[in-house]
Amino acid sequence: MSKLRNVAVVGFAQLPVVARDEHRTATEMLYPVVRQALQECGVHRDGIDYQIAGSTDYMDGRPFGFVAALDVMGAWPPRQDLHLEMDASFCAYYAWVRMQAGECDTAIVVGHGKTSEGDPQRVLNLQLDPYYQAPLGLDPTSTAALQASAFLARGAATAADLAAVAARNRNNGVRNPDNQLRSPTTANELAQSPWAVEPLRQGYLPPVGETATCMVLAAEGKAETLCDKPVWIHGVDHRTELQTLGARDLSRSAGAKLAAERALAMAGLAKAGDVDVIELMAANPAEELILLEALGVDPRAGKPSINPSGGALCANPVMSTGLIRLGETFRQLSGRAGEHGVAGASRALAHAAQGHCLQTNIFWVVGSQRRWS
Amino acid sequence: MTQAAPTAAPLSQRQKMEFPYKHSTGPTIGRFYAGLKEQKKIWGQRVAGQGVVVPPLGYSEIDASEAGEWVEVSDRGTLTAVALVHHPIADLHPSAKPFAFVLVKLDGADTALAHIVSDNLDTAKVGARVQAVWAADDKRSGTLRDIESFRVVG
Repeated sequence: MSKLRNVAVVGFAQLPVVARDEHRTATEMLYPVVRQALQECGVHRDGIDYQIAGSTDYMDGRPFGFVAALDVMGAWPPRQDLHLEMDASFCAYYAWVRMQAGECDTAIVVGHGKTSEGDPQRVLNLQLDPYYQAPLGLDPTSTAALQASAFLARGAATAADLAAVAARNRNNGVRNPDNQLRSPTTANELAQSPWAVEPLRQGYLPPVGETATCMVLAAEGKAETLCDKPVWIHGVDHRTELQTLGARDLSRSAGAKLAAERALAMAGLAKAGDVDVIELMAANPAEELILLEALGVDPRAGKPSINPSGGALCANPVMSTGLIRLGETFRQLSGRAGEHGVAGASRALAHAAQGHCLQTNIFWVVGSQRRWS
Repeated sequence: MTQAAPTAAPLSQRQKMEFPYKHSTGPTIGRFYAGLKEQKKIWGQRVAGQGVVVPPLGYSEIDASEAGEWVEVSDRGTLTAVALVHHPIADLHPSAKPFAFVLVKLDGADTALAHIVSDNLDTAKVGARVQAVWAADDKRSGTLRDIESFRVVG
């Protein structure tokens, strides 16, 4: 891997995820989060070169919904701004690319959207093609159940494994004050919860939740002035796959496997097991097991620590869930994770996904030391 | 005299937006649907890197090459994935009573078609054999539901 520019996560802020924040608009939710992230870095927004937001218009109930974030991030003096209809983790990738191009040294990345104001199952049906898949009425819980059934039918896991993975995440999540679900549970209890869409039970799925998130990224030279412990980006890669669900092997994630391999190679690591912490955006336990298989990591080994935050099962705010995974690795490696901190963590892997059945995946490798000298 | 603030209770505004679309189905998807409607036949396309693709797109999702010849496939097949919906969502799902979303690999096809199973749900498992249940001649209109559902056989 040729030498790249050292870029670090230097700040991250989010609101605790809630079912419905009825007291604030999406813009009002984002406002304190951006201010907090900048304040913790000791910088005003006019000291930030570039900004990018992740939101989805159907969820916002307005076309061009990204403008809801403009005033909060900055629109005067005229700003460099980009918007993606993707989880904000993918937005962070484009900020990183701009820094590699030398076009900016600092950036803020935000995720926003009020999931509670619309109907996520109906909205996310529209991610599918309008000819063959969306008209059938497929929703993301049902497509996730199709994937889980294919995974179980391959014999790669049992129904008991799904319950165990869900319980581990839920119990990890008790210690994370930003989670929507914070009650301890058991695999047995979750395995007896009602079906959501079989083979997925309600206890294996996160509730609808919303938040606002803001991350500050900075290149070497600036990063050290904004944060006592910058968390450096060592590798990143993202890959997408076929849109037609029936043309894919849903029981595996070839895209996640390739993206992880490429990100690890950029980081100079031989395998995913070389990191201390892995944060996965798995919205159900079958997704987590498919991702861990792609990474070659055995979840029963105890190391790396998988989803010490509780992962997406404890809080799944659309457009921010993936950025929270990257934010969690920043918290872990900069000593900001509090009660769910993993002692001595110095390298981590953060994942995000987009689309039905893990269609698109991004992996970040981060470390407490600079990657390139 | 101090002015009293209005009530602090949050209000909300209901909005319902509807944007009707009329999507052209183009020559490939249109031909697939015409086959269902006019012939009660399921057509796929031979595609580089994928074999016989059902439903067809006109190109390869693997290498972007143009699709080859049209191939009729069977209306029987095997379930490769099953999602059993115990609580259907009104105005989204295709059935008001419990049903299963399924992926069906039809005999003669190399990819699977997304569809539903409506009856005998306890037998709808991955690996089960299924048969298309066709809508009546005067009910078929060139949509995926010209096949009403698949039923488990044998």
